[in-house]
Amino acid sequence: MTTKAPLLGATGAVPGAGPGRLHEILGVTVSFKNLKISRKLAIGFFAVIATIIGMSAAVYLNLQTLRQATAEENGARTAIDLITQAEFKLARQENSYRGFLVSGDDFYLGLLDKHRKGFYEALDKMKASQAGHGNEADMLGAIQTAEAAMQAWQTNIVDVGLKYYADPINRFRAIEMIGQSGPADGYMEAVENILAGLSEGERLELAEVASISSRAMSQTEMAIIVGLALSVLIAVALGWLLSRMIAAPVNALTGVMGELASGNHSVEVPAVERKDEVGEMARAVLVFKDAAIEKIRLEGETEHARGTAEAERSRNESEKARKAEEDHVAISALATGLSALANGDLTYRITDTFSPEAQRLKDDFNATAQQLQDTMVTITGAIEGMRSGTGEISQAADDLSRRTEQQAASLEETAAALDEITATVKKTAEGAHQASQVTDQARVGAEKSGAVVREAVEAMAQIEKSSQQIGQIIGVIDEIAFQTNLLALNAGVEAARAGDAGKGFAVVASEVRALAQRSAEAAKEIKDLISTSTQQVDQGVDLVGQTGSALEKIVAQVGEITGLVTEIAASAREQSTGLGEVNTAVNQMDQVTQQNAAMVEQSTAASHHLAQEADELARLVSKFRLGTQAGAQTAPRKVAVAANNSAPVAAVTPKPQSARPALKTVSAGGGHAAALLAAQPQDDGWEEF
Amino acid sequence: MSEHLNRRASDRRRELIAFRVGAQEFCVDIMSVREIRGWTPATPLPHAQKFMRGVINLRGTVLPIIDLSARLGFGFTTPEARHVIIVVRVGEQETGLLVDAVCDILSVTEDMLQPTPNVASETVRSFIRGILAVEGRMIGEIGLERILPEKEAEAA
Repeated sequence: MTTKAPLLGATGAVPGAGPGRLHEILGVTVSFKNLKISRKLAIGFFAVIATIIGMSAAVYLNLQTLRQATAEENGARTAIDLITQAEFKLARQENSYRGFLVSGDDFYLGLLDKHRKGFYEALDKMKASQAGHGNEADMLGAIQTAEAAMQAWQTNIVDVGLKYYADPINRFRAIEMIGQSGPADGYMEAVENILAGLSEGERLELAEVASISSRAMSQTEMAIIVGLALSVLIAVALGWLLSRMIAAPVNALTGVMGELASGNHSVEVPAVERKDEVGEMARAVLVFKDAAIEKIRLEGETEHARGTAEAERSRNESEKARKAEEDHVAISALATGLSALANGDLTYRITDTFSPEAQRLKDDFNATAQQLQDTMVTITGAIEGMRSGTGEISQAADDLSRRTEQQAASLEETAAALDEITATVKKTAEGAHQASQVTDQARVGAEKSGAVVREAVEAMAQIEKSSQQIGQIIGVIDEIAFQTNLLALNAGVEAARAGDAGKGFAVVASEVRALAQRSAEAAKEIKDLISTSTQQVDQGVDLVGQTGSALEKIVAQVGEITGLVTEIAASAREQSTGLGEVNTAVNQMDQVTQQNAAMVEQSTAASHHLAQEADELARLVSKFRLGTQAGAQTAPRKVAVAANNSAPVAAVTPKPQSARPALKTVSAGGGHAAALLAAQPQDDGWEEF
Repeated sequence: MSEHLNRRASDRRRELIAFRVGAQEFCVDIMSVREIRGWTPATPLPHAQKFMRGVINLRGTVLPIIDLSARLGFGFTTPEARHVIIVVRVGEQETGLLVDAVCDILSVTEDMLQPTPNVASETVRSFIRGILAVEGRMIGEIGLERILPEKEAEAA
């Protein structure tokens, strides 16, 4: 209810704003005419958009009012629901209490408590929903009164009734309390009246909210209709204004331009004074008009100049005819002279009289012919020199070809010889390698021999030792023989002393003595032999020692030999490698020489061809008539050479004859070629070579 | 006794022991020889004559040893193991003679022994009783009586 005043204010403002702004725009139409076209269009669109914004604002405000009304309606409906629920719970309480009194079952007491709680809950919810409401205080007061009445019923009817009911004697009192004359209905009625009052209040509020909603809806419709009508009106008005201010002048200009294109330059250009784009277009059309007027003026001047040029041309025609006559004379004379030149007659000169303009042609022709004659004479001489030169060249090329072939042959032989040498050196290297191996073996053998010699020395020492032992044994034998001899002598002495009785004994004694002496002699001989053999063994030891030292020397020398032979083998290998490279180089030289030989043959052929060409050239040149020397020109080559350049040719022609033997001696002999050359009658040949 | 036998029959044979002193060969009658033995080092006697080599112990008997070479005037002998001592009996005295070697036992007749030449002095004749010339050898028979020092002293 509090939102009604601003809502009505907003809806009233929109229709008043639209017509006021349009009036203002029409008022400034003079200055509006001078604005740019883009600005004009922008102002039009802005007017339409402003109208639509105003309409939208009015609609928005009415929608706000509607939303608030709907919220209030919902709150009232909730309150009515809660009041209905409370009335229902109230009835159920009473019903449950009566059920208990009828049946005496405690179950109905449980139901009574449950419904009482439901009643209070509904009232509490109602209190909560009334928070912030306009008539909150009245509502809360009514609800508290209902609660108090309910509590009174509970205290005065139920609690008292239950006490009575517990006592079977007073049970009837409890039933009486809820009877027709009992006080229970009075308590109940109070509560019911309060609840009915609350329900009635809420229904009144619902009706009020519904009337507010319908009013807001009708205002919204009105705002939309008025806004749309204003927008269409403004759009139509601006369209008419803009077409009048832009399209009309452009159409006028189009008409003027059509006139200008069709050649009407007297037409007046409109809207030149305007300051917008149309004014600029009009000024540009004015420039076109001025340019067209200027162009017509220039065309008139050109026509006049063309007439003057025609007169000049007819005057020149007669002059040309006179000149053609003079030119004919000069041309025929020149033609005669040129045909003479074409036939090779270089002695022809023009003698006719020419016009002063052509006099220069005659002089030039005569000078040209003279120059050609002189040049051809010089060329003839040069050709003769060239012929003799090409002859020499071809001769030299022949010699060069022959010598190159000889060189190639020599190189081939050299290559073959080098191959043999390479093979020999390779064999040498292999031989040196084998020799190195053999000397190695010899060294090993010599070392083994050294060991054998040492063993021999040891064996000799053993022999010496054995000899010493033999000597000792022989000494013992000698001693024994000596003693035996003495014993035999004593025996002989005793036998002699015994006289005749001892004769036999004496014989035995003498025999023993003889044996002893023989053994003594034998022992002595053995001793001599042993001493001799000892000496010889000594000598042998000495000799074997010498052999050992000699063998050591041999080992050392064989080692040196091995080193030397190894070096020889290495150098032989290097030699072999070097010779291989030399061989490759010689083979390359051989190839190059072969190529040279081929090339020299080509150049020989070319030089011969050159000589032929020189002859042909001389023949061609001889066709020209050159005046005084005409008699000798067609002679063969040798004669022509002799006639023209007798002094140089005398020196040149003998050369090939003398060069040939000189070449032969050089290629065959080499060293004593100079001596042979000294005997040659002409030194020119050697210089040529 | 042998002298007796020799005097009775000139063809009676006698036996001689031949030995060598230096390069010379000499001999003595075998009957005067008691024993022949190898060299044993002798113990010198003080103030003895030069040819007296000393004494040796021969089975408990003291035996004087005479260097025969020195006694005969040929120079001193350097005795070695191969030298020989000939033990002889002269009268009652036994003496050892040092000689170089014993050659052999000769069996000769009396007439083979030739007298010492007269040209020799009495001294020589007293030392060499006679000379035996056999098989190209010249063997002088030593007169043992002169060899001993006592005899020499008596003779002097």
